[in-house]
Amino acid sequence: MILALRLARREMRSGLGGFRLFIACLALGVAAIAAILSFSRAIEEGLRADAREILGGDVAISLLYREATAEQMAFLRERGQLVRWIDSRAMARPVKADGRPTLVQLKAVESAYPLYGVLELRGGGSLADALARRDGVWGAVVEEAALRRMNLALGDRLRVGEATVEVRDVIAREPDRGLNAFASLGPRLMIPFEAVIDSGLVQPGSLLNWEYRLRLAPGGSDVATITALKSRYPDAGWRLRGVADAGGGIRSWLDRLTQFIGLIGLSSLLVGGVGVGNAISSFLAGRLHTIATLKCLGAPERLVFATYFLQLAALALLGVAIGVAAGAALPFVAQAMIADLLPVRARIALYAAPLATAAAFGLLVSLLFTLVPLMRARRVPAATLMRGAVVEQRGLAWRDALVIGAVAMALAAFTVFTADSRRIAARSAPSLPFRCWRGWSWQWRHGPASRSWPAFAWRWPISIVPARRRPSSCCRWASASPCWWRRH
Amino acid sequence: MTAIVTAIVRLTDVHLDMASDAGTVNILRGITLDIAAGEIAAVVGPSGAGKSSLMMVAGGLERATSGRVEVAGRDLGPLDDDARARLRRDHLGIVFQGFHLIPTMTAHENVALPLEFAGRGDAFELAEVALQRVGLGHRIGHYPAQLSGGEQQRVAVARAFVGRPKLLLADEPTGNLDGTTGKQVMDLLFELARADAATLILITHDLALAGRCDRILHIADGLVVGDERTNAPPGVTLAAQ
Repeated sequence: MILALRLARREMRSGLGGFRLFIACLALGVAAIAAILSFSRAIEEGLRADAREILGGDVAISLLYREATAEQMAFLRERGQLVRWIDSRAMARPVKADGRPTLVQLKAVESAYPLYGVLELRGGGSLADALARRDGVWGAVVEEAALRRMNLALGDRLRVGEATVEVRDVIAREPDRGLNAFASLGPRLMIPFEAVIDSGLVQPGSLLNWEYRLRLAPGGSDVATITALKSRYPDAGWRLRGVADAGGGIRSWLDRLTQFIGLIGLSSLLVGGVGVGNAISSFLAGRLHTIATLKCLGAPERLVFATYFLQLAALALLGVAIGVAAGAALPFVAQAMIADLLPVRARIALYAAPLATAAAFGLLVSLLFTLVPLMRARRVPAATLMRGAVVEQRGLAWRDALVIGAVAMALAAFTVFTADSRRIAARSAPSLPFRCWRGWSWQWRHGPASRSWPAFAWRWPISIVPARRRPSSCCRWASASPCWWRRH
Repeated sequence: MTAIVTAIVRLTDVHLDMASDAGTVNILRGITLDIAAGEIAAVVGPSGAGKSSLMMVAGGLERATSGRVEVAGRDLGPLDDDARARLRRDHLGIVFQGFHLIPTMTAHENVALPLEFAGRGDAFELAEVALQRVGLGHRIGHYPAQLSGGEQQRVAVARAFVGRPKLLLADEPTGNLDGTTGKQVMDLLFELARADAATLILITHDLALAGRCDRILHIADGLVVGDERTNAPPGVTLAAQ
């Protein structure tokens, strides 16, 4: 092994010239996987840390189209501090002539809102001040988008139902917004609970969501409270959630996104693996005479294999290290760019597990795609030196094929083992080679335009993800360019 | 008094066939010959006669289609590729027309390679001595691309001799060199072979060069068609004959 190391070191004196593609393929795939896994983990950590803020309390009670009875309210108040609000879609009509009526996501909150976290206003004041009644008019705060859509400025008034409110500030951050971020049809308009009563919107049969949040007394358990509520009011028809359920919608969105982009990353890595294999085959083809010379001088096959394996392992480690570094840095960059768009504060940090997983994928893929050319190179006959291309290279021995099969199985097993949904991964893994082949054959049939590198680099990895696994938002994103892959 | 010398290379009815688009080509068609230890033999013949193939079969680089090949007392037939490589490492030195030095290694490292394969701890000391023997002691740190053709071939000669092999195979070693340099290389080869009492099999087109050998084997159409002794040392005979 020491001799192989020495020989590998000498061989590497020729530089990295022929290995740029090899290193780039590995680094890109590993970076994609490392970035998405790190980002997903950061959001998970954010969800865990801000669970009460996201939920809005220790226990969330939701009722559709009707409010809790007085008895139920009393029962809830016995267990801690209670706050309620109404969430609904409503039409907001600016009072001024050039304002535009707009559908908004109305939230009418009691003064104790929020129980956890802080609702931040652009102007820096408190929510209670902003919503207070002044000169007989209730206050309102809105999202920036609402001002644009309704052509409003701060201080303008608008009507919601029969009530008139004055827009006094812009919402910078709503602590429990994450839960509704994906269900909203319009921008947020927040008014006091009393104002919605004045509006006349609260009528029997109105499509209002009644939300209640409990901040439990010290020592109180959300699970025990939920159990007690279920037991006391088995037919209440409400939806009860505890801290563990916080961010349920976000989590499921995150799971899908992680699955989708993770699959694309892995697919890209596999596609890159073909490039890796080609780069290595090309490199080893240029080394045939060196290998034959080594054999002429008495080098056994094992030494030849070990020499080039070590050399390629060092280069693979370099590619993986670049990929891991880039993948670890990307979430920091993404946070700076899209933090405001995220429904939860991601806890961006260096997480070892996602980076190690990405590195393991990179090493397994590079191992899989380097073994075939390496095993062929090991069997280059010494006579190549004299006869050159006339000498027929031997095929793979069955033992070599078994080793390659074992590495492929290990990669598939690792993919399934590390997947959030092992069921999906276990189903997808066996079909991946077929999908790779189908994507490639489609491109080959549809002319040079579809084989251009940008088209190839972007569309092919998507094409090998099953259509039903692609989130619609990703499909729209991808369809900015001709979406041939949709046909698959 | 007659000294009994065993054959270092013994070929018995050796055939070598190779497949081609035009069908099977019979390259060697039943060659039988012995080369004695310490003998310097030239193999001459027209292009395509099978000279290089004969060398490859004798060096274990090519597997004979049929017949028996013995080198240094070992039958190559049952040996696998690694065993043949070990045999070359321990008993053979090969000099090619195209030098075949490893471009990423210095002259020193190229020469030390066979000894490194043999696990010799003194590989680099011996390699330095070998380079000094061929007059390149001052260029041990140079890469092949930094050496002239003659110097590269001298490095290749040093590499072939560094392990003190019993058998040296040289395939047109002056083919890529000018006349003067070629003569210098050949002088070196003969000198080293005689100094180490090694057997030298020299493939050449140059009949004048062949005339400097103890024996000339004429090959034509895959057969030995002539075997003449030019300057056989008195009292040397082959045990097998």
